This record gives sequence, structure tokens and C-alpha cells, in this order.
Amino acid sequence: MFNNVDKKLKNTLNKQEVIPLTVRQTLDETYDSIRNQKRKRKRSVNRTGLIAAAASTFLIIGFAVSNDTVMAGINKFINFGDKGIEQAAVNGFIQDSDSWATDQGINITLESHFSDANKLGLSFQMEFEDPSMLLNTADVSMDYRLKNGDGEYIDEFIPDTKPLKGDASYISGSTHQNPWLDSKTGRVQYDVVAESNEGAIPPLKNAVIEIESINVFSNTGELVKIDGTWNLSVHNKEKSNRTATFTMQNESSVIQVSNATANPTSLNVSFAVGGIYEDENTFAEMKILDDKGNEYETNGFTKKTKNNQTIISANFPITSFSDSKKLMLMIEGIGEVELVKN
Amino acid sequence: MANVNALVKKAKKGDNEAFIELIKQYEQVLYKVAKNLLRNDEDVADAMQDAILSAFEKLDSLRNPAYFNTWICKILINKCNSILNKNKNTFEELDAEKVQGHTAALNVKMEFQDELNALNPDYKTAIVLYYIVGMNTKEIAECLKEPEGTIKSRLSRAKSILKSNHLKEEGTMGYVQ
Repeated sequence: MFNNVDKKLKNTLNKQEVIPLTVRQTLDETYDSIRNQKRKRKRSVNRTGLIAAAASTFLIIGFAVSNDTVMAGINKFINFGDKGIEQAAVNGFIQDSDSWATDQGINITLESHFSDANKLGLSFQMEFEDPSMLLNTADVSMDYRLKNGDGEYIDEFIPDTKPLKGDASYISGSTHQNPWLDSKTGRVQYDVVAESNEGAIPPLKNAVIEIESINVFSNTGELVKIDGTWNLSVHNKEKSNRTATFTMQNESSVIQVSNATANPTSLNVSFAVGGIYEDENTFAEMKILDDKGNEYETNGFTKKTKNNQTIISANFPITSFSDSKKLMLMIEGIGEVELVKN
Repeated sequence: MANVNALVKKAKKGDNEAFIELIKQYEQVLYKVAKNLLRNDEDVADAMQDAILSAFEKLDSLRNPAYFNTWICKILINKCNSILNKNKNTFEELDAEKVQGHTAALNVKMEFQDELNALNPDYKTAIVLYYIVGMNTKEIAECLKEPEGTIKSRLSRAKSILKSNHLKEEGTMGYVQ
């Protein structure tokens, strides 16, 4: 008899269904919306189980700003859709730069940058002496290494074919974009945001960006690699990094928060939960709710296991410029913990 | 039909059409999952839209393209559960016609699909994942974060209920004039 039910289930559930008009229309709208979106290209340095999760928040920041420098900073990094970086920009955290170098008929200028312990951003403009090199180009990127004044390699965006010079211990992942590319003038903007899920980026004092190659990808996916040497100094005006720390309201919570520090671009949180969670998706939907009801989600996280505990580190787009006094970290299926500003 | 692995790789590199083609391959499965877990077409449309957009945003988190099917179904199930939870908190005013309709429905022979719909949500989810998505009990256990034994027991209980309803139907049918 079970066999009959089994057969009936298979027949009933596997027959082709006509999708109703309401659903059909919604699906077609969804596809159109995807066609009009540009997915951010992400690179993940996967040493400790990094997950690149969705970046979406419901925070709304007002842009009642008139200062030109601040507006330029916002415009440079607004395409990343990171509300934390936008708030940092509104508060003047992004620094202008005019460091440049020319080689192989390509001039590269570092136009602006920012960094705190959690995130760093670089905005470049490239100018090709021969604009025809950009005809039928889909995007342009660079192979570069960012080295600080102590000689430590902080970030290396280098293909597998070249060896790394550092130990790749600072950056968890990075996103790269060309907000615009003009094949008539031969100019292209290239922006990068890199982050450390463990809040480990050291200060960029006396840092240098060593660019080794320019990668020009055609619309058909072909790559033209232009090797050269472009060294750009990062004139980091040491700004006092405003920070704010939060601690657990209830110390016996199932989520044990060991660190919650807000920097200008984001809140870095590290916490442990009992047991080993092999399925990383358990943490993909974690979020923080502030005392005004705004929700914040992560852009990714790092998972480690130790002493029968799962330890998660992540950045949320809540900044040290936020005036929230209380936050609630929520993980579906595990629990929640209230965090109070010190 | 294009290869799923190749489409996932293309989509990860930013080819949006590849992502759409990928989803279209699973449109039927996704629709059937949502339809079996939710009550009306509007909710089904919302759940599918949310799941597809979420998958588009989170594609980088999918490590092994071979698991695309189970990965997106899992996202969809989370969306369906959110809608079900939201609906739980909504009070629906009972109207006389509806009540009469329900009573009348109890008096007629239930179709197999109705019997499925009447199952406890936990049983229904297990059935949907097993028969529509094609997951095995271990995969369902991982997806729902439940022990495999619990999933096996839910599938067995669900089939028992369907079997007993089926027997009742057959018995009733003999007496219907």
C-alpha cells in the first residue's frame, strides 16, 4: 500500500504544472530586474571559511551635504551600495589623493582612499594614451599589491599565476568595479573595497600601491594584459579613528560576543556559539537590529571552530557615527543577544 | 539544456543572462515547492521573487555549483517559512460563505492534492523536498537542521496519513450513490 502512495506522490508532484499568470508576470519582472542589475564581482580569500553573503540593508542615510570634497567621496564609493561606507563618506572620512604614475602609455592616478580596521577603499582613474585600446571593452582591472610603511603586504589582488609576497592574512574579500569607462577619451575609473572580517587591517601609514599589470577584458571575454610598473604612494593623513564598543547585556546568552567595535565604516562583531556548525548557511541570514528598528546584514563572514564552538566574525554596516545605544544581534534558529554601547 | 556548472560559473562572473537561464531550468521545481507550501498565488509569486533575487545577490556564497538545486530550494523554503510566519500573525475575518465552503469540502471526497495540502507543515516540507526537489533524507536533514531519523520518521508518518486517507476514500467510494 505504501508503494501505491509512493507512486501517487511521484505522479502528483512531478507532473508538469502550468504556472499561473500572476506568478508568470512576477517571474518575468524579476528576470527583467536582474537583467538591469550589475552583480558586483567579488573575490574571496578563503582561508578560514569565508562566506560572501548578500549585502543589503534597510538603513536610509540622508544626503543633505554640500561640501564638495565629501560629495566627491560619496560619489566614488556609492556604487558599492555599502551604507556604512556612505555614512563614513558623509562624515568626511574619505581622503583625496593625487598620487600618479605613467608606464606603457597608461597614466594611473589614485584619486581617493579610506581605511579603518574593517574596510579599505581605493579609487583610481586610468588614462590610456591610445583610447582605441578600450574599444569593445567590458571592464578593466589591475594586478596590484598594497604595502604599508612597515613593509607588510596588506592586500594583494594578484592572479594565481603570480606568487603572493605577503601571507594574505588581512583581507577576507574584496569587490571591484568600473563605475564608468569611456573609450572615446581613453579614461576609466576603477574602484576597490576590501574588508577584513576580523577587523585586522593595520593603519596605512606610508603605504604604497604596487601595480604590476592592467587587465583589459573585451566584451567577448578575451583578456589583454599590459605589464608595467606603477607605484603610487598613499598619503594617509592620520585621522583619529572614531570607534565605539558594545558589550552584551546578558552575559549568559547562547551567543557569546567577544568583540563588537564600531569603526567609521562598519561594526566588527566576533561571537561564539556552542557546537560545531558545518553548514555555513546557518549564519547567512544573521542580522542586527538597532534601537530605531533599522536592520543591518553582513557582506560576508569568517567561520572558525575551536573547543567545540563555532566562532563567527563579520562586519555590519553600522558605523561609529551612528548614535544607536542598543543593538540586537539575531541569528535565526540559534537566538539573539542584546548589545549595549559602552 | 545548458550545463548547470557552466551556467553557475558564468553567472558568478557577472553574466546575468546565464543566471536567468539557470533559474528557468528550475522554474518548475521552484514553483511546485512554493505552491505546495503556500496558500495562494500571490504568496507563491512573492516567495519565488524574493528567493531568486536573494540567490542572485548571494551567488558568491555557493561554493559547489553541483548543489545549486538544493541551495536555491533551501533559500526558497526560508522565504516560504517567513511568509507562513507572517500570515500566522494576521487575523482573517471569517465569513459565512467561507465557513460553509470548508464544511462542504469536508463532506466531499478529498483529492490527493488536497490531502497533501492538509498535512502538517513539517511533513509537507519533507515530502516536497523528497519528491519534488529530489533530495535524499540526509540532504533534507542538513537543509532543515534536523536529525536524519526525524526526517525519515516524518516521511513515513506523512505517507501513513496519506495511505489511511486513501483507504478511507476507497471505503467511502463504495457507498457513494
